[in-house]
Amino acid sequence: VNAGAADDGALIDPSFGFDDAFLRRLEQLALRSRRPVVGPRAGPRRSPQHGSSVEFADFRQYLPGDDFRRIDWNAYARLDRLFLHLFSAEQMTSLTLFLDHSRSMGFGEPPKALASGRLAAILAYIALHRYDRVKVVGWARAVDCELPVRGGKGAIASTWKGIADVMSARDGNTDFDALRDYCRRRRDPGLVIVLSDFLTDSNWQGGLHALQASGKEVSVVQVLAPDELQPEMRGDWALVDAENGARVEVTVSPGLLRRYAEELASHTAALRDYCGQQGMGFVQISSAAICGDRWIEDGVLTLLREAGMVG
Amino acid sequence: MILSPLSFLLALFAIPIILLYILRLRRQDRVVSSTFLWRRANGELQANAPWQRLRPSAFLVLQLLILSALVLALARPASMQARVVSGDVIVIVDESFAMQARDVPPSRFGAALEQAHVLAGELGPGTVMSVIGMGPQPHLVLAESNARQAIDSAIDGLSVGTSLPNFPAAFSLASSLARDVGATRVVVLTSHDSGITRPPGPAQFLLEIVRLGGWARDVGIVAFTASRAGGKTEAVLRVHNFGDRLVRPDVDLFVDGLLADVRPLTVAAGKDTNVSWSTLPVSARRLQAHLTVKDDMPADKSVEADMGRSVRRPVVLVTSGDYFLQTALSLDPAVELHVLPPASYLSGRGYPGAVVVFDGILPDAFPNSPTFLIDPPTGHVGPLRFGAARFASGITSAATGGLLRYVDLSDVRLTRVRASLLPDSLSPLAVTGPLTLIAAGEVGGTRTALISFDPRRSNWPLLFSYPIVIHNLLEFLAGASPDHVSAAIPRRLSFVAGPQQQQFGHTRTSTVRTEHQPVDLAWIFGLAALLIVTFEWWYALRR
Repeated sequence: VNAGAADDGALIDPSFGFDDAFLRRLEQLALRSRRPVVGPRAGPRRSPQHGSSVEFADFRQYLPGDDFRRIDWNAYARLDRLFLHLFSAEQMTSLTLFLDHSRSMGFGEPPKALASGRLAAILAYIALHRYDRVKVVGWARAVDCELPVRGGKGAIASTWKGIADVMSARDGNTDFDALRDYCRRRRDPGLVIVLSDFLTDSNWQGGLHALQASGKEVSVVQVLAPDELQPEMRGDWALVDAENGARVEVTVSPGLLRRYAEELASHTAALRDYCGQQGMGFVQISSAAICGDRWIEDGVLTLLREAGMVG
Repeated sequence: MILSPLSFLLALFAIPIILLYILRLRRQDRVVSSTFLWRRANGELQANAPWQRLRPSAFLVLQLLILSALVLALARPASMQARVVSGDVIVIVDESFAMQARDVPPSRFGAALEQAHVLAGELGPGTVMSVIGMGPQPHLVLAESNARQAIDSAIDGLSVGTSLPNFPAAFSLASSLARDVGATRVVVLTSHDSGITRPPGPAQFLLEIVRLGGWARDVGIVAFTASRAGGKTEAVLRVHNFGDRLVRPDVDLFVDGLLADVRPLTVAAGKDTNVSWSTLPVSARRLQAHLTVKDDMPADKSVEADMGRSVRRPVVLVTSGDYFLQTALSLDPAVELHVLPPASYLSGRGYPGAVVVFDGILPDAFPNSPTFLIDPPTGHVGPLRFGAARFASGITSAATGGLLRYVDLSDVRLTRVRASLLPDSLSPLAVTGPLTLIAAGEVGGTRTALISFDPRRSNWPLLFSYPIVIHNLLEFLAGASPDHVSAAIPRRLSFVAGPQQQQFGHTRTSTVRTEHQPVDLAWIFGLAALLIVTFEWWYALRR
């Protein structure tokens, strides 16, 4: 009996079922960064680097080789010294969506994979509509899917399809060490949002820390199914782990459910505390809040705002 | 007791219960996204094996407790309780000396009479009541009557004496009165310190022993002796404190009705104190001693000795020399002692009016006088035959009344006893196994007494009972009735029987009886099982 399990590998609709009104609302939002971003190209987002925008930042003395066009001639007239106008650079940021597509994400009603994919699609839409660049990375035991970086509104459809493809292919167990391996190879800065259920023994602290250490601004979204947040089974069961096949024989009683709730709260608190200490955004979302009949648009957007991911 | 012991076999159900905890439950698989949180909540990982180690489990303990309670309930434990019979009642009222104690108002005896009246009032229709007075010789006061007036009259006719109770005889008398043993209730109303706690034999009826009183405050005179010797009169008084506290009474001595002396005494709890007077006038004829103390037992405070009798009884002692015997005889002022060595004794010569005591020798024939044989050698005289001496250690049984009244022979330790063949006319008074130690009766119309061992080879001469027995036997040989020997005692040697034991406490003990009724206690264990099941259910829900 695979109660609550989605059909493994079921295809996810690349359109994710968003209507136009919802998309119009998303277009009013933008990804938020807790610090100025350094991007590969000029864009609409403030950068810690000085560049060619109209926003004045500072003065400094002229050095040979500087652009003559930025010399402040009024200051030279008064002080007989050459000063240069410095302006803030505006660069586009890069949003990397790390999508956990392990076997456990296929469980839940609605499935966590679908919920995670819809959330990723929302975030990608907001980013692409604001001319940010979006990259989708799928991982389970290892980073096994890395879509090319896309930018602009025209990349929305292909990005959504990529997200749908990643979340439709579920395999293996979640291993956060895969993120560490990834960061050794890619140290590009930007925003990173990790979507996973975090129900794993693997070293998720190490994975998140590796992302942050590579210069990325990390946010975490924990997606859990309603049956994981509040299990409703009773009686004697041999619970089989979908990822590693481990069996746990339990007699589900009110007492055990109470202890399960305590363990879940403890695990979530550990995750939230870690993110808070590391300056990462964190939000826990039920898959029922994103998909299906219980889809609550305002609720999701409010959660993302409160987590400081969009604004 | 257990009414259904076979039910304990049901305890074997504990084995499958334990097996259920050793065998692993075959559970249905359920695939979940992750067992990560379940493992932490469950607190354990279980191997995929058919057996598992027996772990401490509250449920296992509870289920074993339930099984135990059920097994005990099915085994039907029961407690034996005396059946209350509403039938004939036989009341045995103790008339002994100890019933005079007033630690129970108005006295133990008065309280016993009140209880007897209450029992009479509780008689049901068609039932009868018998009343037995328990003295040294129990007597039936009323037999099988249901007339309330007659019963009350019989009860009121009982009187307390100065003797000890003879419970075995009273019990035997009650047994013979029981019409329907299954519906007869025998109630013994006795004093707390009588020592009567159980029937002397199997009781086929409901026996209830009510012990009245408790720790009596009693200091009393237990012995008083007076004698003339050396032109003066001497007297010795012994006082015993039966209570549990030190007492300081005064002893008043009256000589011929006039107060002659007052002695203050200090008597520790459980101890004796002796008082002696050695300079009383030789002309004294009547001595009275009075103990001035107020306690629960007023009857043992006075004693008197009559010194008026001057007739002396000749006693011829034929002996090779026995200091103890000679002393015991010479101390008796009523004895005119003549000591003869065996060689001087002439069988053909008569000793009219005298008691002849043969100590260690056997005459050829009985003299024409009362004869007292002490430690006879092997041989025969008349129908009495004496064999070899045999080893003996102590006295196994002795008479409690008559010639041995007020005598305790339990402390006597013997070494050798002469085997004897005695005629039926000689009644054994004390025996050790099959051997007769002391006997008295008539042989050929002449009173004869026998002590078949050498007292010198025992500790008896050192005991208080030795001169008393010698005196009593001489009294008997002189013609006194065995039952009235004691009547002669106060003349020179007065004894007042006091409480014999120190067991007190105001208690009412209802005991004994071989027939009991089982009261089923299975419901207690059934209720316990139900409570444990309820607790387990609640615990399971809470868990």
